[in-house]
Amino acid sequence: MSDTQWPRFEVFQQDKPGQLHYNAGSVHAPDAEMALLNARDVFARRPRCHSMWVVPVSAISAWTYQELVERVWAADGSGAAAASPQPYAIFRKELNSRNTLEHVIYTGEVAAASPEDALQQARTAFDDGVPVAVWWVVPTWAITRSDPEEVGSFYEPALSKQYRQPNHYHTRAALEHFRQTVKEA
Amino acid sequence: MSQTDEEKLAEFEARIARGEKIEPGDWMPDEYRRQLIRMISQHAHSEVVGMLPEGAWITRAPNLRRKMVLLAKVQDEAGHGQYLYHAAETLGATREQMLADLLSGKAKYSSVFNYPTLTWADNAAIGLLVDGAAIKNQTMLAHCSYGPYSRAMVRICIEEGFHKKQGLEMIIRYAQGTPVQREMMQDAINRWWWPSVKMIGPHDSDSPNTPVLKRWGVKTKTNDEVRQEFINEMAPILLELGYTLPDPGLHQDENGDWRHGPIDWDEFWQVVRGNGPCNKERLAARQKAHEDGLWVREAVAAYAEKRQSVMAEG
Repeated sequence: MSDTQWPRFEVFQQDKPGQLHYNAGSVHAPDAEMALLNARDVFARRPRCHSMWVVPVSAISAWTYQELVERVWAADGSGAAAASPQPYAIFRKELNSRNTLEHVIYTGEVAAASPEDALQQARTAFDDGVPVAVWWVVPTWAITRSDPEEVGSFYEPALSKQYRQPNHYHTRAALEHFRQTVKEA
Repeated sequence: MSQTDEEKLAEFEARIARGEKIEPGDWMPDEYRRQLIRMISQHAHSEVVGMLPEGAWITRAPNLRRKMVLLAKVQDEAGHGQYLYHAAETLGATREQMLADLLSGKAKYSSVFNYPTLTWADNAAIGLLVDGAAIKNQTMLAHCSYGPYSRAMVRICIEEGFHKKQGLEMIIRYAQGTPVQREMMQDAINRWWWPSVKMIGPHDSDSPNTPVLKRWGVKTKTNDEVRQEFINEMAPILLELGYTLPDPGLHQDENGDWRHGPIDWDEFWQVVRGNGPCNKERLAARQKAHEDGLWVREAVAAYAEKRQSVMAEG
């Protein structure tokens, strides 16, 4: 049947230059290019966006805090050790995160032989004493990024439509005005 | 060593008590997953069907500003549906199944979208009352213990702010308008008041899911608590603007709460069961939109396929 909803891509969003990319949600698309367009329309309607990454769900390895507590690690990934290292992007969500809008946040890159190897390295490399609720590991080849050259045009609709913002509607002043006219009448 | 289910449940409840979010991949009771899929998919369907009553007025907006505002609002509802389908997918529900259930009529969505929009003033009433009631519910759900649902709710609440305010702005304008304009707004309020009061859900005494949902931090308030907040906000402002509300029992009690009169729940359940004024029309509109979009999905798939083969050759 041709009528499918297509694979799922996780979407990472950067609101302003210099900030970290965070996971905002997911979209469905037949390929990464269309996923990026859908992601822009779904997640960057406002207030602003500077960059987006999309990753097919099949390329993401995820671990939760609970899984890591229960897990017994193999002493040595013998098959993995033979593979040549490749770059992995690491994302994590802190256990006591007070951030209500962002899921996992980009933490950095490691070179590793496998996703498990990348996780092990990340747990050491990015250990700052903060308990982590969720780790995501993504080979960097699986990330499709929005074009930095096209930031202006690609994300322009997020900025230009001011009537999408509540403060565009001066309801408080309008109510005050209404009260005045009632008083005067 | 693996934990027993009782130990897992105890830890799960302790995590919720500590204010931690439950994330995809974490252990959760089957009932928690089942209730969340039910709530989130219904919520997603409501956003999608919710585009229809107002969408019908985009081509008939009274001026360009109102047209742009309404377009942006309806586009937001489409986006909100997407956030919510995503949240349900993290629990194992599939997009294909959820859509199939919506299009076959098996899935439920908010009863409030089964009423007609008869005049332009209905868009004002929907903005203030329907979105106002939805925001009360969604603000509560933003504190939900399940991470993906709570994050979707936070995003939606931020965006819904303008939906409600553009409605209130119109209601204030109508209050300052000609007698005919005020009459038109009053008529819309008369028709949308009760559906908005009812959409918050049955009384707590008829809401069997509420205790377990509260215990697991899915809901943090009961339907009647949310309804009271809604009426306390809406009644004074509408009365001050010179409108009346179609509830002869409405009054302010000694605590300052605005109490409603008896609610006609038979009517509510009739609409939920598919016998509202527009149930059939809404479902037919969704089915038609899905069928009419088939060529777009085929074109997109063909383009993706072609691009892949070009890249493989190149």
